[in-house]
Amino acid sequence: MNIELYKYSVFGFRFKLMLLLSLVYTSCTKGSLNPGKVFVSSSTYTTLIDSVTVQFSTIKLDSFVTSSASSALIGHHEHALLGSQEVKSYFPLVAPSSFDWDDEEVLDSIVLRLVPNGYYLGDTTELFDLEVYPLFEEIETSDDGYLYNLHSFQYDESNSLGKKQFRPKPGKGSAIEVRLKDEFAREIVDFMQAYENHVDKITLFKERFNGVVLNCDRNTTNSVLGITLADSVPHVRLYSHKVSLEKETIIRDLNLEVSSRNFNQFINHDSDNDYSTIASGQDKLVETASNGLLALQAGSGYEIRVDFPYLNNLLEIKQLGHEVKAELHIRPNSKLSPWSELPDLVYISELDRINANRNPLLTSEETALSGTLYLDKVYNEETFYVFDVSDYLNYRLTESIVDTEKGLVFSLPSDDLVNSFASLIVNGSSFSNNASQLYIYYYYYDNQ
Amino acid sequence: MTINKTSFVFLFIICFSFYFKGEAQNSVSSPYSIFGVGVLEPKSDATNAGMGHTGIALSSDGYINTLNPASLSGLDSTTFLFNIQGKASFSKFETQLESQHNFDANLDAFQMAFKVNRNWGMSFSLQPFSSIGYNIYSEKYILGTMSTYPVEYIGEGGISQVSWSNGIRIAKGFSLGLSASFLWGNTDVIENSYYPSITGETITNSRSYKVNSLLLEYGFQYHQPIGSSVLSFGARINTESQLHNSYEHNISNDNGVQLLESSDGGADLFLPCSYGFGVALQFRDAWLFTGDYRYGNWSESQLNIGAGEYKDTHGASLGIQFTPQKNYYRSYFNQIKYRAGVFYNQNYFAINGINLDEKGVTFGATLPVKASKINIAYEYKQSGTMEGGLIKENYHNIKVGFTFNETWFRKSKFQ
Repeated sequence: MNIELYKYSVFGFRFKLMLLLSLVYTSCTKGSLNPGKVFVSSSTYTTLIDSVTVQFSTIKLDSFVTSSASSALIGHHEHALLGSQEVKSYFPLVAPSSFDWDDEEVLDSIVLRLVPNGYYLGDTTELFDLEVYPLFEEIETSDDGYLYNLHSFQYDESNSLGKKQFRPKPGKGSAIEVRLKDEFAREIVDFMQAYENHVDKITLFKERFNGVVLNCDRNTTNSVLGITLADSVPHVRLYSHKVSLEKETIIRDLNLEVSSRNFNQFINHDSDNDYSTIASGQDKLVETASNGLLALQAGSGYEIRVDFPYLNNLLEIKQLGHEVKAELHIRPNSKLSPWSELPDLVYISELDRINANRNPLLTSEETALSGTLYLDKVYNEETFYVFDVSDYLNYRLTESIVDTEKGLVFSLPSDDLVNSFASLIVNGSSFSNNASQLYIYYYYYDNQ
Repeated sequence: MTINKTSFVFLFIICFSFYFKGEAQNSVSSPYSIFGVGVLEPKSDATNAGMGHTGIALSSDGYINTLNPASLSGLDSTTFLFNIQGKASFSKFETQLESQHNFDANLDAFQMAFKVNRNWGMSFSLQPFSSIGYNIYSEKYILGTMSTYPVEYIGEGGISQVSWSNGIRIAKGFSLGLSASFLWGNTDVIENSYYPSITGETITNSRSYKVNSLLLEYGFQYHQPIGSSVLSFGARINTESQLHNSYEHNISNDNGVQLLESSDGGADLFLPCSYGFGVALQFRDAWLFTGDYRYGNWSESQLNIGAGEYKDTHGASLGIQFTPQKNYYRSYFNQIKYRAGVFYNQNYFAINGINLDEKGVTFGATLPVKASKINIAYEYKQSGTMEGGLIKENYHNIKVGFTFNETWFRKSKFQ
């Protein structure tokens, strides 16, 4: 009886009906409504803070490795702001592994063959005076095995091996051949004949022929050329011939050494401009001391540093909200850095008070953070780089005591640094118009 | 009888748990629920709802009248009533430019009532007091720029009400009622700020409110037989009450970083005094005419309404019920009670001076199923307006209540 009663009560039709009723939870929506501001009343707000003062300065790398570069650079140019700048390329000569000289062979000529890599800076209407000089001393690396942008080796500027004047062509173009002195060819042939069977022939060759420096006449040249470095170029080509039944031309190539011992030397000749007053890599040339203009340049090693002297002020509003976005807008000077010459890639790193301990800022994908370049090709007024420093500033604001001596530095990719004079002249925050600036989008809480 | 009680308790627990489940899943109810304590839910069950939500003067004759605790003295002394009620709502929200269609179905309420003694009826009930469910998109300016950023406002939750009601007959035809209700609720109010134009972080700003309060309601009813008819009067009054409020405040970004975490007592909310009068005429046994008037002193409320202003509310309803008396057993349709009604309610706030009154028509019926009853009410309601950027709302609501009594349990005893 009781079992029957139980079944009826709990498993009966009406019980199931009620259970079904209590299980019905359905909801769906089709379409959308944006009734807007009448409905919402929120005390949160987001504001753009563009009044956080940042201080820009130009710094200069003490030195940087230029050996084992992927290309050679030769030339001279007058930078509108940084003055006269020159680059030379040094190469050791490689002794040929075999040199079978026939007594009936007649030496004709010797040329240096260079292949442009396409990099070019300057005016293509002007002539380029390329010069080749023999070195007086052997190229030796520093103790660390590298050669740097400031290294140099002696040569006699009054005694060139050869010169060539030509009109550079933009793009890679064909090989450039510089006729060298016949005496130089004679010396090589004589040496190789004399030491052909010497066990230490290669070392003796290096000691005898220290190498060459490729240079330009900076009085007449106002352009810079990039030269391809590969296994077989550049090289010195010896032309000779033999006459038997008919004339037979013989070609021998002696490679310029592409190794840790070839390097580019960069020279700033102008000692009168503001930027040349930067005495060491630890110094800063604040923007107010350089008319509000900042220099980032490959070759010379100039870089732009930005400091946040009033970052502590943001701590005061830290409890009131959160920074949802922080952007550094870096505005190139439209006259000194027209949009067509702007570097594609500019990286940003953190550094300390003495411009050391670099720590690259990273994206969420852990790759180096670079600026996004916006181009205004028509008016060039809204051309600028944007660097997203949101994470960086949020991280800085978590410090219990904000170290205002830490800053950020904008730099060029290392390959550009040693293989070009790529430059970016930037309007500082104190510049009269189109100034670079920090923009912080700040979300204010409703925690009152 | 032991088994009956077991099944009853079992059912009660199921309903109770699903009620909370439903509360947690509260979906879109109305964009207007962003204001104040949300959209106030009518107290009436499917029986009263079918008559334009009237019933202040009606006694709990065969059903549980939730509009006036004094009605409980009219319960059948041998009856143990249980009512479970579901609600389905088809709604259309319109602005000048857009429209949105919604469908919601959930458990609405349940009640049980019984007679303690010959003059004292008692009930327990669980039903919504107000509901909050909205999803609103808007835009804000980034101050200092001409740029805007989208902000999404989401509200979920509401206030529930569990009541202990008593009606005592103190003289022939005259009853007094007292109902004590505990109000509580959880509401999540979320504001998502997106920054697509600056590819900035997304900020989620959420407050989880918890409110509770004790609400007292008094009522009386007087029934005066006039020949074969009965003229009834009733009134009820809710005293004002503080709604205690506390919240947890969380702000986080889409990188999962907790930016702010706090909790606060919050400012108490104020539920104002409200009252209502009702009159009913039971004309012979076939016709029942009812009329109610309602008033809420909401202008005294301290509720936070951004663009709005509080206002006192007036509301009125008229209802009619027809019970076929002839050939009761010959046709099932003659066993059904048929109802109809109209109602008009003012909203407790206006926005930018624009009133948001609601008006509607209702139809209802009670279908006997063996010893139980299925109560159905349909309501068509319009509220709001498209003026001033506001929203006009059209609702088709269906309430289905299932009322059974002790005879249902007892019936099994005889099998």
